[in-house]
Amino acid sequence: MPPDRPGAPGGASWSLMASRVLVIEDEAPVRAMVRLILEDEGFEVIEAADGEEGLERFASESPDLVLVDLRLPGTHGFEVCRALRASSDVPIIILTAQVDSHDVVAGLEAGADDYVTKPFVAKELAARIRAALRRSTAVVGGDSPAVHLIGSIEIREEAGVVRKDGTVLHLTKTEFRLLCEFADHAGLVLSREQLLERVWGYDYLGDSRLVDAHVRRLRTKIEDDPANPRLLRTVRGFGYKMTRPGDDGDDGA
Amino acid sequence: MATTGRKGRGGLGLRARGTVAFALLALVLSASLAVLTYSIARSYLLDQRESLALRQAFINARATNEFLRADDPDVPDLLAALPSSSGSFVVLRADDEWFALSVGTGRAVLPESLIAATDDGAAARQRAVIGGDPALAVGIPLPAADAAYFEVFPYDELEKTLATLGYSLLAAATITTILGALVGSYASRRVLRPLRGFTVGAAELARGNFATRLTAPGDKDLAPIATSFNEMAEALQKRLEREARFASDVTHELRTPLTALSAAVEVLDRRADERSRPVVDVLRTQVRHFQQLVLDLLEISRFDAGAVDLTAEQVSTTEFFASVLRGLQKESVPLEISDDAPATFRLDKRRVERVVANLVENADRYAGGPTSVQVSGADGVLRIVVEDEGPGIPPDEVDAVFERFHRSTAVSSDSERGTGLGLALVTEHAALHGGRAWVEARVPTGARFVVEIAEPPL
Repeated sequence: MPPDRPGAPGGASWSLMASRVLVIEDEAPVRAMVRLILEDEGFEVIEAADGEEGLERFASESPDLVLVDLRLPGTHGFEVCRALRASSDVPIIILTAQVDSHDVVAGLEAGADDYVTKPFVAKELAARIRAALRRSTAVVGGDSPAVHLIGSIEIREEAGVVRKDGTVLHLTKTEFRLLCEFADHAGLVLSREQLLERVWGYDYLGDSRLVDAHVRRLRTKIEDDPANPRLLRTVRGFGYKMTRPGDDGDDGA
Repeated sequence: MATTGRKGRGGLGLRARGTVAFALLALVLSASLAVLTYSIARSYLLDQRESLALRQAFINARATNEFLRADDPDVPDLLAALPSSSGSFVVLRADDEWFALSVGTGRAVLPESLIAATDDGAAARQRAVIGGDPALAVGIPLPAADAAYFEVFPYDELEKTLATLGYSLLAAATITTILGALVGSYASRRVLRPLRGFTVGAAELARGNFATRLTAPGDKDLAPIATSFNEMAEALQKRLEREARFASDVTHELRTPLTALSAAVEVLDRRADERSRPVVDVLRTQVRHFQQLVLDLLEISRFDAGAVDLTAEQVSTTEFFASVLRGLQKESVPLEISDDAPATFRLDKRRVERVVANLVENADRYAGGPTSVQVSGADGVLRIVVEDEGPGIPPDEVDAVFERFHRSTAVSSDSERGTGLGLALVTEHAALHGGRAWVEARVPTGARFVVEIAEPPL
C-alpha cells in the first residue's frame, strides 16, 4: 500500500493528547510489535487478545480508534466490527492477511473504515491510522455551503449532522465525509480514485472496494430503496454521482 | 474443452437420425396401407361393376331376345330403348347384320375372341381396351333369334374413382410421412433434452461454476448419468474448496510470523546503534527478501489452485501508470503513452501494478534499471513495454526467463536477490487478463519486456 499523501499533519498536530488505539489481535508477537511501532509514532496503545476482551476494553477505555484483526478466535473480527458499530462511530481499521479474499469486503460491509494487510509496513500502518483519525476530527467545510438539502436529506457539515425527513441519521465519520464529498459536488460524477484520495487520502492505486463498500453502506442509510438508489447513483465505468431529485430524471440509473 | 459434439461419426446427429427413422417408418406404414387399401378397393369396385354390368347385360339381352322374336322388329328403336348405364353401349348381331347406336361403336370395336366365343353359343365377357379406354365387353348369344347381344361397359368412371382414391391415398401417405418426421424430431428432442441439460451443466462446470448440479431427469435410464455428473461436480468442488482453504490457511499461518518479524525488524532498524547497524541491515534485507518470496509463492499458489479473481475496474491510463511509477519511486523513468493508447482501460489495478513492478525490478537487477515504460494499444488491448539498455536476453533464454525459479546466466548487479518468481507472475497476471508476456531484443542494445492485456468485458 502506498504511503500517505504528503501534507498529512504530524502525530501531535491536531491534538494535544496522544490518540489512544485499541489493538485487538490474538497473536501476541504481532500485538507486541504493533504496540512498539505505534508507541514510536506517538500513539497510546490498549491491547486485547480476543474479540470479547476487545469489546470490554472498548467499553471501559473508549479509545479513539480500533485496530482489529479479522481472524480472531471466538468472536470473529466481523462480529467485533458489527458490535462496535451498533453503539459507536469510532474509526475501525481491520488487519487482514488476504488482500484479494472476500474478507476485506465483508469487513468493510460490517462497518470497518479501512484495512491494512499483513505483513504491513510500520509507516503505512501509522499513516492509515492518522488518516482515519483526521477524518473523525477534522471539520469539513471551507468554501462550500455548510448546509445541503438533497431530497429528504439535510446535511449540516459543520455540526456533523445528517437528517433524513427530520430524523438524525447515525453515520460513521468516514460515511459522513463521503456524503459531504458527494453533496459538495452534487450533480458531478466522482471517480473512485477521486473519492479515495479526498476521503481516505489514498493515491490512484488505492483499493476502490473501499469506496464501493462505503457507498453501499451509505445507501442503506440515506436511500428510500437502497437497491434502487435515487440520490447516490452509480455511473457505470466512471464512478458515482449525487443527484438531487428532479434534477435530471432518469439518467445514470 | 474438447468438443465431443452433438454429431456422431456418421455425420448425422442423433436428432436427425431419429427424425429420418420416424419418417421412414411412417412412409413404409402409410405406403403399404395405401397400396393395400387401393388394391382392395379396386378389386371390390371392379367386381361390383362387373356384376352390375353382367346383370344389366343379361336383362337387356333377355329383352332383346323377346323383341327380336316379334315380327319385323325395328332394331335401331330397340337399341335406343334399351337402358344404358354410365356410358355403356350395345352392339347387336341379328341374322349376320350388325347394329349399333352410333358410328364407331360397331362390330369393329369388339374383340374377335369375344365374338368367336359368343358364336360358339356361350355367354362370355372380356376386359379389353375399347376405343382407347379399358372396358368390359359382354357377349350373350341369343340362339332363338339367331342373334348375339353385345354390351360394352367402359371403365372410365371407375378409373376416375380409382384415380381419385389413389391421389387421396398418396396425399395421406405424404402427410403421414411428414407427420412421422415431425414426431420423430420432437421425440428425439424430448429424448435429448436431458442430455442438453448435461451439456449446459458441463459447460458451466468448465467455466468454473463448480456449484453446478443437474436435476435428475425423470427417466430412470438417464438418472444415473445425472447422479454421476453431480458426484463428479461435488468432488471437484470439494477439492477446490479444500485447496482454496489450504491456501488461505497457509497464507494466514505464514503472514502472522512474517508480520511480527518484519515489524520487529522495523522497530529494531529505528533503534539500531552504530555497533549493531551492519547486523540489522542484513536482517532487514533478508527479512524483506524472505517476505517477498513468501508473498510471491502464495500468489503463484493461488494461481495454481485456481483461486484467483480478476477485479477489473476502469482506470485512466495516464494517471494509473504515472501512479504505479510514483509508487515504485521511478518517476524519473520516462513514461511514454502513445497516441493510440486507450485513454481509459478496465484492468485489475493490483495485478497490473505488480506486473510493472516486477518488470521494473527485473530491469533494476539485471540491466541497470529501466530506460522507459511505454504504453500503447488498440481495440481492447493494452500493451505495456518496459525497456532497458542492459546486456539483453540471450536468444536461447527468451522463453526460459519467464519460468519459475529460472536462474539467469546474467550477472545480477543488485545485492538483493530476486525471488525467481517475478517474471512467472507477470505471465500469470497477464494470462488472467487474457493476455501474454514476452521479451524481445531492443535495438541497438538491451531488452524489451512486452506485456499485452485484454480488456475484460464489462
